[in-house]
Parts: sequence; C-alpha cells; structure tokens
Amino acid sequence: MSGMPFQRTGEREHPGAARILCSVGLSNAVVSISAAVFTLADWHNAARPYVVLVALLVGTGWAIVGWIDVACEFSYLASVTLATGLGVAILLSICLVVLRWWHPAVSVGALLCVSTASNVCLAGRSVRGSRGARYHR
Amino acid sequence: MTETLDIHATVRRQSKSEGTATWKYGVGSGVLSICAFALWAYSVGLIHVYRSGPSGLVAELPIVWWLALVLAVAAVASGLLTKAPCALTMLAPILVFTLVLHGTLLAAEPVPRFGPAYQVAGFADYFKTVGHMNGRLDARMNWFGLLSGAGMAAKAMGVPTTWFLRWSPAMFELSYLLPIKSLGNLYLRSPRARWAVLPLFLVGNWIDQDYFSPQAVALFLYLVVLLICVRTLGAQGSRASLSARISDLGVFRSLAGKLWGALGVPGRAMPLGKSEEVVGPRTRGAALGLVFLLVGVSVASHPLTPVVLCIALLALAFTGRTRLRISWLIASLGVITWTSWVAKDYWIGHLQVVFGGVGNVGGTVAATTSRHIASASFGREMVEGARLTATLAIVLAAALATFLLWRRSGRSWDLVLLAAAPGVIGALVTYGGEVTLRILLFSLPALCLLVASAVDQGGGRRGLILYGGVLILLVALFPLTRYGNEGFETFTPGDIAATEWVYSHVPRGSTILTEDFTETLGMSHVGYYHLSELGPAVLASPRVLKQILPNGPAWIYVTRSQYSETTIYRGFPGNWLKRFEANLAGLPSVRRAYVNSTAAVYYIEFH
Repeated sequence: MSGMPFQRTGEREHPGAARILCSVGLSNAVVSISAAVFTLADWHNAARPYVVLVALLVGTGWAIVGWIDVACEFSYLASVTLATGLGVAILLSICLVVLRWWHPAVSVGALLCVSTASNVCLAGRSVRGSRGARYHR
Repeated sequence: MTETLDIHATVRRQSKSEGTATWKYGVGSGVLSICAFALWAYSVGLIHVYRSGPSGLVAELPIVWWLALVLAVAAVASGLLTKAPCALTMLAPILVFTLVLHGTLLAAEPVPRFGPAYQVAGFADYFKTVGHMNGRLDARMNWFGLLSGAGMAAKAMGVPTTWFLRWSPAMFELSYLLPIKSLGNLYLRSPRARWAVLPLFLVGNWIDQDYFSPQAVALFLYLVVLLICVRTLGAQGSRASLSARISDLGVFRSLAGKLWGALGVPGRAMPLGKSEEVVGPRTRGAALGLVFLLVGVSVASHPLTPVVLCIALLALAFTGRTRLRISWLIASLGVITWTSWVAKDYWIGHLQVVFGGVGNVGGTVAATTSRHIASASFGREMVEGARLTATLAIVLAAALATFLLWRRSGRSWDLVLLAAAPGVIGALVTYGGEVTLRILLFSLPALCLLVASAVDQGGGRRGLILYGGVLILLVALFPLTRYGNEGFETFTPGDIAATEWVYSHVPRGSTILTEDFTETLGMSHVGYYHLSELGPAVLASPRVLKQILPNGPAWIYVTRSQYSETTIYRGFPGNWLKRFEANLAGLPSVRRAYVNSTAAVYYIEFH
C-alpha cells in the first residue's frame, strides 16, 4: 500500500513490474486450480476453506482486472480486484438462483477453472512483455 | 561549479539523514507493534466477556490490554512521524491497531457474537441447502445477493455458513482500508496525510455494522464504485459541471464573494486531489463494465446502500468529478428494477413502513437517539453519551479541517458532498430507527479524509493538533463506543448447544416461543419452525402466563443472552428469568426438556 505506482500500461518498459505481474498471475493460477480440485473432488481438508475463499475473491478478481490496463498503485488494484471477485461470485450465485439450477460446487469449480486459464494467460502476457522489454534494450 | 557541488552534497546529506530518520522510526514502530501484539494476545485471555455490565466491556478490560492499546497508538504515531511514511513503516502498526481495536471481542469470545449475524448465516444456509429465494420467510431474503453468494461459497468451501461469522468484522475493517487508502492517495497531497486517514477510520468506526452482513459487503462495494468513478472514470476540473456553471452565475459570485470575505477564505481555491488518469477508451469501457457489475451486485444485496450510492454519484456528477455523469441514473434504474421485480413482495403493503418518515428528519434522528438513550441505567447513558461525543467530534473536526484547508487555498467539495450526501436518506426513510447510524457509516470515510487533510502539507501545527486531538479522543472513547453493547450481544457455548439440541429434537413445523427473535435459533433450519415472540409476557403472573401460552404442543427457548439483553437494554427487572422459570415450573402442562448452564428448553403439552 505504498502508493508507489507501477505503470501497467507501460510494462514493456519496466521488466521488474512485468515480473511482479507474472508472479501474481502464476500464484493466482496455482491457488485457483487447487481450489477447483478441492471443490470438484469434494476433498475435505483444513486448507480448503481458505484456499477456495482466496481463489474466489483474489483469483477470480485478478482474472478480470488483470486484463484492464489501468495505471495504479497497490491499494487501488487490490480494492478493485477484491470487489470484482466478490461481484463475480455473487453474480454467479444470483444466476444459479434465478435459473433454478442450484449446483454450487460444480459452478464454483467451473468458474475457478476459467479463472485459472485467465490467470495463466495473464502470466504469459507479462512474460512476453518482459522479453519484449529486454529485446528492445 | 563549486556551488553546484555544494548543493548536491547538501541534498545528499539531507536525504541520507531523512533516510536514517525513516529507518529509525520504522524500526521503532515495528518494535512497538510487536510489543503491542504480544501484550494484546496475552490480554485477551484475561478478559471475561460474560461479566460485562450495562457499560459493556470497558470495566472488564485488564491493564495489559490498555497497555497494548497505548503501544499500538504509539506505533501508529511513530510510523506517521516519519517525513514520508510508507508501507514498510505503516503496515505493521495499522495491522496491530486493527487487531487491538476490532479483534479484541472476536478473540475474547468463545463463540461468535451478535444475533443478526447468526440470522444472516441462517439465510445463507437456507440458500446453501435449498437454492431458491423465499421472500415470505423474511424481508431480507428479497435482497439475496450476499446470502446466495455466501451459501454458494460455503458449499464450495465445505464449511457451515457460521464459519464466516467469527473474524468477519476484522476482515471487513481491513478491506475498507484499501479503497480508503486509494481515495486518500487521490485526494490528499502528503504521504503522512494519506496514511493518517486509516487509523482515524479504524477508531471512528464504532458503528458495529461490520459483522457478517449484506451492509458490510455493500459498504465495501460502495467505496470501490466511488473509487472507480473518481479515478479511472474521473474528470476533475471540468468546467462543464453543474457546480461550475452555478458558481459562474453573477448573483452567486457576488453573494459568495461577500460570504467568503467575511469568513476570511479565498474565493478561488484549488481543488484537492490529483487529476484523472489518462486512460484509453478500452480501459474506460472495462471500468464502466466493472461499475455496472458492482452496482448490480450491490442492488441485489442490500436495500439501502444503492440508494446512498445514487445520491453520492449524483453529488460527484454535480461537481463534475466523474466522466460517468449518468452513473446515478444507472444505479437508480437498478434499484427500481430490483425492487419492482424481485422485492415486490416486500414493498407492496409496506410503503408506510418504508417511507413513513419522509420529510420528518428531526423525528427520525430523535427516534434513533432517544431509542438508545431511553434506557435508564447510568452505564447505558455513558455508552450512548460516548457515541454522541465521538460522532460530534469527528463531524466538527471534519468541518474545521475543511475550513483550515480552504484558508490555505485548497478546496474539497467532492469530499464535503460525499460526507453530506448520505444525510439525504435521513429525510426519506427511518430504516427501523437506525438510519442515523447508517448515515454516519456512509459518511465516515469522507469525514476521515477531510480530517486527515488537516495534516497535509502546509497544514501547520493547528492541523496536527486537530488530527491528534480527535484521534486521541476517539481512542479513549473506543472501549465505550465499540464494546458498549458487549453485555447483551454475546452468546455462550451453552446457547449454541441449546440451539443444536432444538435442531436435533424438536420436530419440523413446531412452534417455538422465545423472548426475542434475534437469537442463535436462526443460524440454520430457517423456515423449519414457527417462531413466536413472548416479549413482555415473560413478566406476567402465573395465571396470566397460563392464558398467554398456547394450548400445546409448543416449545419455549430461554437463554442467558435473552436475559442480559432484556435487563441491560430494555429495562426488565433483574429477577425476571428466575420468576419466569419458577412460574413455568408451577404449570402442570410445562416440563423442562433440556437445560445447560446458560440455556433451557421447555415443552408445553396439551392441557
């Protein structure tokens, strides 16, 4: 929350920022796929509630916000990511209720798989950005 | 050339000494934070929450806890004293400060607190098991966004919905800090002011609406929507804004000139805050999509928050702070659509309840305050007095900070309007006599930002004294303001055990009589039982009680928390529970089916 901006729109000029974004994408992908496995396999363990919650809020949020090129600092990005994750989860549940198709575990599992794919793509995009920066230098 | 070298050397020396000072303060605040955390962790084991009286937990807090609080404040102050506070120096103090203020009750209580939180968990459990909405069970089911979301998440996480209850308040408080910090980065100039807003919000938020509830989630969404609207979709300084057009009117200019002259403030002040981000149309489109999503979710989760959001967005459109001038209209349409489509069962026939207080602002405010102050005991009066003092202190400090800022040729009409806008709902709804609390809740972030602007660059000693004075006053009052209801908002493991006994032994469809609905009975099995409130009937004589009680079969559920709530908050006599139990024992048709140290369940047979 330092307020130090890192220009995501210009990440090609900042390989350090690209590395951070790549790590964030990969971490979210790992958490999301773990949560998807826990949920779909109905595997009960002490870590499951925390992993699924983090994946739903942060993983899903970042899977969307990561594609939006806003120049911002940590607090802004974290706020929007958490709110988006929360919003997507609530929207999904509303859809399940309205459509009268209440299969929460399957739906959350599917959402987390999509979010994993998006996070992997985001990490890949950051790597490409960082390589591009090295090439240009 | 020599002069240039001298300047370079001076700058290097200055930055080196500043760096050393930052490092020292950083280490100081870190050490203080660790000590505060250790003392706090030790102190929570010494707190006996069930001994709380009318004044709440304040009399039961051990000296070690007070010491932890002093150290936590010192850690925050140490972090803020650096010239440019940063995450390295401020993160640990803020976390420990949050834990000491908002984590004490959560850590000291054996089971999660607050009846309404159990009810929300119950509704979420209903969605988890049934998966569809039933607005006739409870009005709150009509705004089921969070309830269905929590039910879905609990199912995916493999936990009961009560899992969310215990640490929700501390987690929500931490989550509010993110958008508030980002708003601070936008509106405040110095890093010190940007960080100073966070402890002020933590200590000013005694309102107790951060339990696991739709309004707690909706407040976070409210802050993020405002943030996106003023940041990515921001448009500061637009001359086309309505406020700019009004201020350009000749009549207004001459009147304002005289008034500003009398107050000694400049007529043309610079707007506070950075200019908007330069973003492309794609990013703006994506941000607009996010605003749609968050407003939609907010509309589906809570009835009041989107209304306040409409007013706040209208205020931002008025000042020309956002490009999204019609955002308030989008939010209004969302509210109307949801209310007409999903929540129609609620508002048809309840218009008088919802809008009965339109225009009666004084009556609404008086109802909120007098309802709380009406209780007779000195302890309750002390708690309510502390809450009024804290509220007045932060409002007056914000007004004074605005004035100081204005005299320094800075203005912050956005923040002033965001602080004042929620007040409009006071003229529209009573919200069960709680509307004043909700207004304060929605105004608090903007009020804190205004107070923190007093410590901004050029604020001078007066600004620092104002901020420090308010912070210390609020910290001193916090144990009364926040923990003041502890005497009747706690539950015991015995209460929960009795509830679980009811779930496993009382047949579905039975009638259960309780003194009050806000009980752990609603934490699951929503709609299984016909709950009926006994209320003052518990004070009746055996003869009257016999007439009041149904002619079986029915159940009576009595707990220690009901006793505390009625004696402390509603002025029931201190011996009512003993008398009531003796009266029940005297009735041949009533037998005790279950008992533990804090709860009992009675069965009423046919007579």
